[in-house]
Amino acid sequence: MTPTVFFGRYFDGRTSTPVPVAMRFESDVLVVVAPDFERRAARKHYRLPERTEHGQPIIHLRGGGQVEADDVGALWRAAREGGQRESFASVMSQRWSLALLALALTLASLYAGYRWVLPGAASLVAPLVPSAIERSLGQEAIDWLDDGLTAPSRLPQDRRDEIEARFARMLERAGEDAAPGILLFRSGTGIGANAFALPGGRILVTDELVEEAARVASAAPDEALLGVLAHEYGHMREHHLMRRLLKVSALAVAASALWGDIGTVAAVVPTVLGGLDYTRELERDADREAARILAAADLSVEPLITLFGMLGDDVGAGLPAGSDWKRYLRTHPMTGERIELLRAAGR
Amino acid sequence: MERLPGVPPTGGAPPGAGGRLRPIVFTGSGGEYFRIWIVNLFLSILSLGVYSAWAKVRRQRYFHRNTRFAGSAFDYHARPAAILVGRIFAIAGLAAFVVAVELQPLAALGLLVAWLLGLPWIVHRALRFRHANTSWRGIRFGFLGTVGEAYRALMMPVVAWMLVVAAAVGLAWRYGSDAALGLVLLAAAAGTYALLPLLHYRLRRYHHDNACLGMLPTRFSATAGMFYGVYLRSLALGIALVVGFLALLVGTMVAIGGVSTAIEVAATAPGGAPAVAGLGILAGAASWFAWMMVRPYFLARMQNLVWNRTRIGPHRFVSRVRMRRLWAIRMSNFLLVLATLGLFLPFAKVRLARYRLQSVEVAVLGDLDRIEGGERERVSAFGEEAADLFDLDIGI
Repeated sequence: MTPTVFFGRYFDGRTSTPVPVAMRFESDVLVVVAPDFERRAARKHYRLPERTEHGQPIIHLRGGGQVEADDVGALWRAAREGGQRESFASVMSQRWSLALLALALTLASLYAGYRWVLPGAASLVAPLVPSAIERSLGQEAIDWLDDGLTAPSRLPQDRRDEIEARFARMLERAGEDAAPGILLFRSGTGIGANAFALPGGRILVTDELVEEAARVASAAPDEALLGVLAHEYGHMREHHLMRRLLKVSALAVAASALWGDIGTVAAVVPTVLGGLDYTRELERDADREAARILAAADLSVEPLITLFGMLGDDVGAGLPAGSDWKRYLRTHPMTGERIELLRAAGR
Repeated sequence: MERLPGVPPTGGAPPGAGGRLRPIVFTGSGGEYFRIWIVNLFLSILSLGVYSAWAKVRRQRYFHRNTRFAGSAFDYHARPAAILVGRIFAIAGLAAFVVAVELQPLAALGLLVAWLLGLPWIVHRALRFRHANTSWRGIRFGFLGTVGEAYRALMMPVVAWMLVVAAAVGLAWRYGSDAALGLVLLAAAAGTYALLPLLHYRLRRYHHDNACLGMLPTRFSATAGMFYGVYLRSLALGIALVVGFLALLVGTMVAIGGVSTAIEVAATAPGGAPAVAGLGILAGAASWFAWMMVRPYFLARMQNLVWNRTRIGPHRFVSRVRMRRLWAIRMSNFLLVLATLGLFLPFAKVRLARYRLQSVEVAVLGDLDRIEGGERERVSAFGEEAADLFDLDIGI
């Protein structure tokens, strides 16, 4: 069988003069025949173009020459006879069915990466972050808060000692091995009744929250406050802040790589929504941990639930059923969902 | 000789010396590029980003080989491995910056200044890489600008800009009041706007005065004044559009609700929070509207200015991008990309490339079959990838 011949224009890489040539493959050797010369290139000395419907197919020859082939179909017929195979990416790009399969697989892997790979990687890496970095982040946060948002606590020293002792006893009974001096009391001039876990293993709690929690009737003293502290302790122990920081950064990088071309908004919106989704998930984790600690310490979750209600954590409660779109803009899960989770986990 | 409507006389040569006009043709298809794009995306995700270097080469080859001039297509030669290495170094630099910001804001400031001071070098490396890896008819393009020239061209505007911003920040620090802060920010913005055309001009001149195709050098004959002209006209158009938009709105309000309602709305605006929020949204909408209108105008004017003032050897470029057409393409692209959550992006890129490339012709003087090739060089991809990563628009 005579090998398929295909045609094109040869350029030597030194001038722009086209030279009409005929080409063929002798097994995997490319033979370029011009009116006054013949060039043979072994497999490693030429690079074939992808087969595309549009665009000039160009064969690169080692040492600088190149051939513009007239017909990519003829080129690949000849190349296949010579035993050449097209690249995987090229084959996939030629058919709509395979390209749409790639689209489906892309969406599936994006979802899997977001749902499992990213959180998994973040929880693996977060405990490895040097504690010095976490502590310096925490100190920065404290300095930032103390610059106008919080003031020194007005609670009497006895009261603070009492809360610390109860908190320590609760953790001890739950089998937690916690260092003393975790709690940081502040007057929440700018942030009101609030408590949060800071990076580096501290929990900040405002006087306003202590006072608000004291108004909740409970069987054991400070049961509601201890519930909040158990929740924050859950955040702290699991390095939630560092995990969130890592996840959101990774998400930002991924979103700008995927959608950065369209515009900043297209990259920022998924990051923000994804970040909030993670936050809600971490809140659910912390709620579960709080319920576990409270149950282990023979405390009830009900005062904590009452406190959540009092603090007005019920945005969206007045909305008609079905309109829970706000769910995606919230940092914390919906109150109803939270209550159910707390009660179920505490059992 | 053909007459070229709308083409300003080129410096140096009389406008009549046009030569034979030959078009640049773009043959790419949106559907085909979509298939290449989605497979690239899939393989890049699957390989955790490693394939992205190969994806870039596939994409560049598709666009280059679909851009034809005088019967031959352009071509792209970068090796994926080189791009991967450049990309890794650029990302490592960005990561170092992010970590520094987190740990020590002052160190980050130092790195930012270092980055600004390193910009001309990055621009130089990126241009060398891009040109050395582009060819037409087997003849490589080249870039002959030196690092020293890059610094001479770009450092003055960059340093002046840094001084303006530093002075503004310093003043804001000194006089902490809100009004002073506003004025200072305004001054910084004005300073930035005043220096941007100069920086842009010098960047384009550095680029278009130092490139070559084989032994054919390019020459650039635009002036800084022309760049200021385009920027000022765009600014004026933007202001006119914002004012017009607001006037139209107030007019509509008066027409619908009568004068009393309009006055009432205006009167309650400063007091009522919803009215203030409404005004903010209106101002945002007006700015966005103006931006969407002005940007195509600016891009069309700029492309025409830059290419009509560029020649390569004896050949001259003629660019005739029309603002209205460009606006229609960009606007519909934007809406379709939004509506399809990004899936229209590859189609949009092909549409835009087709219009922008097909608006350019070359007035050919002499023989295109006798262009001599120059020396080949290997350039690392770091500059190109750093420029890419930070969205530095070096332009074609």
